[in-house]
Amino acid sequence: MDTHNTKHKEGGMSESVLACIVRDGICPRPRWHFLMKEGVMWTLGGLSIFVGALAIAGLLFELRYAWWDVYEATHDSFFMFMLDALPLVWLILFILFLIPVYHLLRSTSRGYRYSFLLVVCVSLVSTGVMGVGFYSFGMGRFIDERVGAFVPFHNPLLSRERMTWMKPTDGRLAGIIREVPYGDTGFWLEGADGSPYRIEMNVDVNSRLMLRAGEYVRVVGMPTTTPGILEGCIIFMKNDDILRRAHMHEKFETNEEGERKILISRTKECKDVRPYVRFAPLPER
Amino acid sequence: MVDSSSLSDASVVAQSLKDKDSFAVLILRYEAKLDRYVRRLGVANADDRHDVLQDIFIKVYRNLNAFNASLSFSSWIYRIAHNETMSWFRKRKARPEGHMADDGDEILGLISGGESSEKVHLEESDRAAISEALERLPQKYRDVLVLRFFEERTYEEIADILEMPIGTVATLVFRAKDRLRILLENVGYLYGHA
Repeated sequence: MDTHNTKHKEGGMSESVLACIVRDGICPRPRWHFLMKEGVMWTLGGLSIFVGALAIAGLLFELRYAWWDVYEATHDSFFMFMLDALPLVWLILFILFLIPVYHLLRSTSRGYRYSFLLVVCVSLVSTGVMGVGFYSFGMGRFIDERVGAFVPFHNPLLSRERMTWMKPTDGRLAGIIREVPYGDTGFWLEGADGSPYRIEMNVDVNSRLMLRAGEYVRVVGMPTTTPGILEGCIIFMKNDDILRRAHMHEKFETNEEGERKILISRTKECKDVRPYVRFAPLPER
Repeated sequence: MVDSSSLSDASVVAQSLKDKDSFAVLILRYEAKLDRYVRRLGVANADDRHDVLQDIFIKVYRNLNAFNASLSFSSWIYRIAHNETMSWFRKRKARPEGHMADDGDEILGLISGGESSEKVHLEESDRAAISEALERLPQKYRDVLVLRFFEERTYEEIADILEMPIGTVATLVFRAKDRLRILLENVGYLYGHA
């Protein structure tokens, strides 16, 4: 094995390299080539942060409008609630775009010097801050619906809200209370389809439930043999303007101060009725 | 050719961009060092090393404009040398061989005495044992051992050459020494034998 002594004469390397440079017409690549390469890295990194931030804003929007305050009534456990409420598509998109941010930061001229943890933190913080910024400027819904339209497997929150709560035959209905007759045991609600529905509660809705016209409510109940009439079991009141407008196709004016409250009224017939329970149709009366 | 022997590397780089003949100065400055480094990385055959070195210098020339003065030229050229050598192994589907067998005495010094490379007289059988242990050492550990103890590079320089954080370099050096010590015991060379 030849190890130390090369058979090539001193200075032979420089001659052969220079000869090769001349023969093959090799020139140093221009500086702009390297600057552009670095610039492309930073641009791609910036774009990845931007997309990751959109995902964060969408994620925050969905989490914000999940029904946290009533999860005990709607789900068997917090875990089951999280399975429904956690916007997995946005979360996956955020993680997917965090990976290129990490790699692009590492590929910059000095990026290798920084530890894994530091680069991950910088990527997380930069994406998170921009995402919170988007959300704070009220872009959450726009991102969830408009940007989300380009994201595979994504169903915007408000579209899910409409789909889930406009099923009177399954005992789920959401809409604006139109009339709460004095001394009545039921009230009239206008659903997202514009049709009037009668919700029978079997209690004095004025004095016991304190329902008021104009409120946005979700009703879980049991369909009756008469179309348009539901036996109401649970009423969720959440005066979030954005939900009200989304569900009702922005037909109605807001009239409440946004106070959240939940009213649950269980009758004998409603025993064991749970609002979501995997969205299975409620049993016939 | 302009007399560039007293100029700094960075100045010769600037000059080489104007006059390619000045590049010969850099070749002369680094030819022997890189030849030794490439040999330690495992290119044992002199003809192969000549080819690898030629590729290294041509790559350096092509990328002269990428040299950033915030980095030492030496670290930069060693980085290219390391990458080109690894690329050469991949293209040839070859494994590093025979590296550092002749540096066995320094290796023994580093294992026994921390980071000072103390010269120890070694028998031929000792060299063979050390060479075998080194060949069984994972590449990432060999890389840091070579740079730290044979090329006598600082952690910061190694970080620049291997493009990794300084903390990672320190960890790898520590683990490399440990692994080498265990391997030497496994191949039958027990420390204290010499």
